[in-house]
Parts: sequence; structure tokens; C-alpha cells
Amino acid sequence: MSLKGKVAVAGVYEHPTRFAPDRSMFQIMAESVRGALDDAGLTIKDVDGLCTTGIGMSGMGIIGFCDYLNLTPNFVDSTAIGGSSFVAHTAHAAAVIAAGLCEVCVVVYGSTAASSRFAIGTGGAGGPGGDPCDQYEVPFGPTTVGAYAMIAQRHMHDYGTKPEQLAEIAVTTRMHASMNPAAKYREPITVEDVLASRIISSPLHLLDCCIISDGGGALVITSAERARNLKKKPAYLLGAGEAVRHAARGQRDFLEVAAAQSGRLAFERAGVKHEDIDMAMIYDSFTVTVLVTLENLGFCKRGEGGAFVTGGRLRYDGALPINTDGGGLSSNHPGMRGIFLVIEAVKQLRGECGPRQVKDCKIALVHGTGGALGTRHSGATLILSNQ
Amino acid sequence: MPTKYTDVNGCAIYYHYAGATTLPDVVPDFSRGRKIVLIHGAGSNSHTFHRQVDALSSRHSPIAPDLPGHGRTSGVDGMRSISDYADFIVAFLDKLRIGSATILGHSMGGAIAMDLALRFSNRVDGLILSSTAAKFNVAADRLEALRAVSAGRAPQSFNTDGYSQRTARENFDVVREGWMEQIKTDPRVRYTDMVAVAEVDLRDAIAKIAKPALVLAGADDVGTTVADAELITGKIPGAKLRVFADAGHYAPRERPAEYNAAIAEFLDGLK
Repeated sequence: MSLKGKVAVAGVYEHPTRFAPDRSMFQIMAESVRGALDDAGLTIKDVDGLCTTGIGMSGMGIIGFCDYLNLTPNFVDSTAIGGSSFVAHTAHAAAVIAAGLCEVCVVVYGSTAASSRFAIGTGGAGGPGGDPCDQYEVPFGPTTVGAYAMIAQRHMHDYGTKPEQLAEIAVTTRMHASMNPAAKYREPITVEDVLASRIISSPLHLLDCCIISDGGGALVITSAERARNLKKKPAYLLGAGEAVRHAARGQRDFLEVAAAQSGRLAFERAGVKHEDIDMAMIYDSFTVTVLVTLENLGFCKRGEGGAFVTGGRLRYDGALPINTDGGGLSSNHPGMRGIFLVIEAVKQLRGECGPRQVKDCKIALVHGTGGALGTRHSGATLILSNQ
Repeated sequence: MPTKYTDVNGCAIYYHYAGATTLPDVVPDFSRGRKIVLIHGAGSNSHTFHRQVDALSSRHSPIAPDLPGHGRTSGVDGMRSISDYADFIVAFLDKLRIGSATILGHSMGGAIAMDLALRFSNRVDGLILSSTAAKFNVAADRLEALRAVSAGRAPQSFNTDGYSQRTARENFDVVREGWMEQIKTDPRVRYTDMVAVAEVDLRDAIAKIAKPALVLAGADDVGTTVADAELITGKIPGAKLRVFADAGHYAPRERPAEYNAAIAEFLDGLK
């Protein structure tokens, strides 16, 4: 059974806030649900499925949020695999809608990471510790940014990748943010600015790292048939894949990441080729995340990422536009960014992106990364189309 | 000390006040004694004044907001100029249905207070100008250092520069308290605030202020000096000056007892 074209994203909403000390996580989530339903032309009464991670919630997680919305859905999923979770939720929702388990599923996220002053990147990698696998890592004090910096070190060591090449990803992303009035950081930067910013975990500079913001967003997912009769042009799901990678007792190939598996599955299932992709939303927790993800998704060969990301290729008017909203590097990153990847891809497919609109955007790829790329992480890939 | 949010032009403004708490969107009771609005400095927030709000609360109605982009107020951008901040204070007063109040401004807040008294004199009962200047001496290298922080080239500095030597030696907790509040505002806002402060020159204009005014200064303040305070006192007709020994730029934290007593005396003297 193939999911291709059977299910669509019918509504999206990105909460405009970047710093909301006046709101709770649940408020941001509820406002996002309302926004996405308005966008689709549906109401809360139409919703019979709900997905969110439950991270940051207490006790029974997603059930508490159902209580907050006074919702009794027929389907819930609180898969929590880090920042990619909401990308995976989209695929899960599509599968259950196609199987007839529910009809209208909302995927939602909210966080007050900035106003609550969470340490995200500088916090511990791989959670608080206590799992059997943690004994090889946690005692040595790894951080999330450190686990990504190791990937960058390895890439530079093996392939001679330059800090300037990583920096260009940050510069391009900021240029996109300058065209997004909601982005937290909008002032253009240069490669020199990135290289002059202080080192956080060598070789990653401050401007190689995603920002910390508050925020939230929601998606409404329903059958293609129903989506065609709603307010906005549907973004059909062509294919999806997900994967995990772990430390594998020290035997892992660092530069082979979950995207290799999830991307291959998504392309196979969608039946499209790399050259068919008009734009991509690639999780950018750090600049190196983008570079390694593009290699693993097969947009370029392993080791060639450094050259691939330069020369304006990733700009909104380049050969492979990515992260046109300004990404986690400049627009928003409340801890888990996956949902914003789907939202921007859908807006691009609808042609709603104003000055940063990618021309003739028909097929978009979304790839979320969750966890720490250098140790345990997840990858989830979607391919969406407006046709 | 209760706190509350109120929406001003789409921005959720956080403020400290005194008295009974009220439901969301219900304006608290400000009828006790004098209404006094306390405006904080560049890159800072209203927590600067928690000792003042506490001390004034039994007899007066203090109100201390976090300016847009600062502290616990929503949004990530500060405002471009001192007059933009003054316009914001007017909108804030409108929202809280406050016709006029005594305005206490600290440092950048002092410039905002003077601008308010000049352009919206009917909203100002009296002025308390704390550690401020009519023309700030903002060195180019200081601006450059703040810009480097906002661009990520340098870490934020946590030093005792704004404090008297005695405070740094004997009362380090208030220095640490200042640092904890400093990190609640984006460094970009501190930088744009200082740019706004550097641009303003009220030296001639303030001679037209016709409101009771009290000028407060720390004897050991090297940023806004006693000479700056004397200049303001000389220009505003009838203004009184009070200088606190062993205080730097942060007299509200460093010498709260004397500082609060001076405010109370000024409020009692208002007609």
C-alpha cells in the first residue's frame, strides 16, 4: 500500500512570537491549533486526531493537552524523537488517515525555551543519563553543540571542508530571514561576521549555531479528497521516511546519519528524483547539520558538501533553495524546530512567501533531525507537492 | 509585590505594582497616595526598582514597567529613540487609565522622563531624574564593545563598573543581582538603547520644564556623573539635587534606604 497523494497538509500556522514570557506553552500551542484550523477553514469540532511530543508536559503528556483543548480524539501520537518529531508526526498522521483511523489530525508544538531560559545546545547531549548506553558518554560531559561539532571536525579532517563553507550556510539563511518580518534576527551578516563570532564548540562559532526563541506552530492533516474542498491549496504528501542512528558501541560511521536511510525511503516512496525537488527545508540546528544532511539525502556526494553549499546554490533564487524562512539559525528555534520546516514548505508550495518565494515551487523536501548528530539522533523526511 | 501583563500596541508589557491583585485585563487600583511610574535604564528592566516599589507600596501607587524588548515584556526588539520610548509610556499610561503621574527615570529612563515632561507635560506631576544626563557621554569604544557583543564577537561583560568601590567590596550580592537581570534582555537591545541614548541632547530644552524636579546622583558614578546631575539641576527651574555617598550608577540597589527616603520626601512635598 502506498500513501502517495492520498493525504495532504490542509492548514498551517506559525505562531508569530519569538519571546513570550506572558504565555504558557499550552497557550502558544492552543493559539497555534486555532491558527492552523482557521487557515484550513476547519474548526476544533472537526479534529479527531492529535500529535505532539509531550516534551515539557508533566504526567500524562498529550492527554493533558487534550484536556486543555477539551478534545477527545480517536487517535493520538506523542512520538518524541527530538526536533524531527513533528515531521515524523506528519507521516504518522498520514498513515492513520489513509488507514481510516481518523480524518482530521492536528500536529502541534509550542515552547517557551527563551523566556524560560532553557540551555538547549549547551545542555547535555542524549538526555539526563541513566540509560545503559549513557555510561559511555554522560560521564565525560558531552553537550549537544559538542556532539555536532565533532561531526564538523570529522568532516573537515576527512574532506578538508572549510569554516568559510559552513559560514555561507549561516549567511544565506540570514539573508532569507531578512525577508521574513517575524524572524528573530534579520540584519544581514557576512562570512567574516560568522568567522569573527566567538567559538562555542570548535569549529562551530556562535553564528554557526541556531538561536533560542519561544514559539510554536500547528499543521492540519487530512485526506487529499477532503483537503481539495477546504480553504487553501493542499500540499500533498508524496513520500515519507524515518530513521534513527545511535552510537552503536563506538562502531558508527560518524558521517553516515539518519537522513541517508529516511531520505532514501522518502524518495523511493514518492517516486521522484533529486532534480525534481524545487526547494528543501533542512533542519539547521547548526550549519554543519545542513551540510551533512544534504550529503546524506543524496543531493551531493559524501565529502562534496563544502563545495555544494557555496556559490549561492542554497539561496531562495539558487539551484536548491533551502530554509527560506530564515531557519533555526536566524528565524526561530524553540528547542524542536521540525514543525516550522513543514509550515514553510507548505507556504512555498502555495506561493505565499512574498519576497522570499521560490519560483515555480511544485515539489518540496522536508528533513528533520532530532537529538545529537554525533551520538543518538533521528531523521524524518517528507516529500510534498502542490499537484 | 504583584506583577501583571497589559497589552500595549500588540506587545505584552510586564509591570510591577502595589496593592491587591486583579483578574487579567482588569486595571489594578492606583488610588493610594501618589501614582509614580518608574522607568528603567538601557538594557535593563523594572526589577531595578523592586526595593523602591516595596518601600513605596504602603503609602503610594508605584508602577514599574519593563520597556518593549526588555526583561519579561514580550518581543525581541527595543525602540529606536528616546522619544519612541516616551510615546510608549504615554500609551502605557492610557492603557492603565492613568491621567498623570510622577515619573521617575533612571539613566536612559531619565532621558525618557525629561522628554515626557517636555512633550506631554499634562501627563507629568513631577520628575525624579536618577543617575541620568541631559547629554550622555557615550564613548565610541563602549558602543563598539556593545556592538561586538550583539554581533556575537565578544561575550557579555559582567563587571563592577557601574558600582561604587564600596558596593563591590561590601555588598557584592547587589552586583550579582544586576548581572542576573542583565541577561534577561537581548544584548542587541542594550546596544540599540545606547545608540538612542547617545543621540539625545536635552541640555537646552529642559530649561522649559515647569514641573517639580528632584535630581538624584551617585557620588562615585563615572558614567552619568555628579556634574551631569548638576547641569540638569541648574537648568530645570526649582530642581533640587541629592547626591548619595558610596553609590555608583545603581543607587536604587546600592543605597536603597536613602534613595527611597528621598523619593518619599519628594512625593510628600508635591501639591
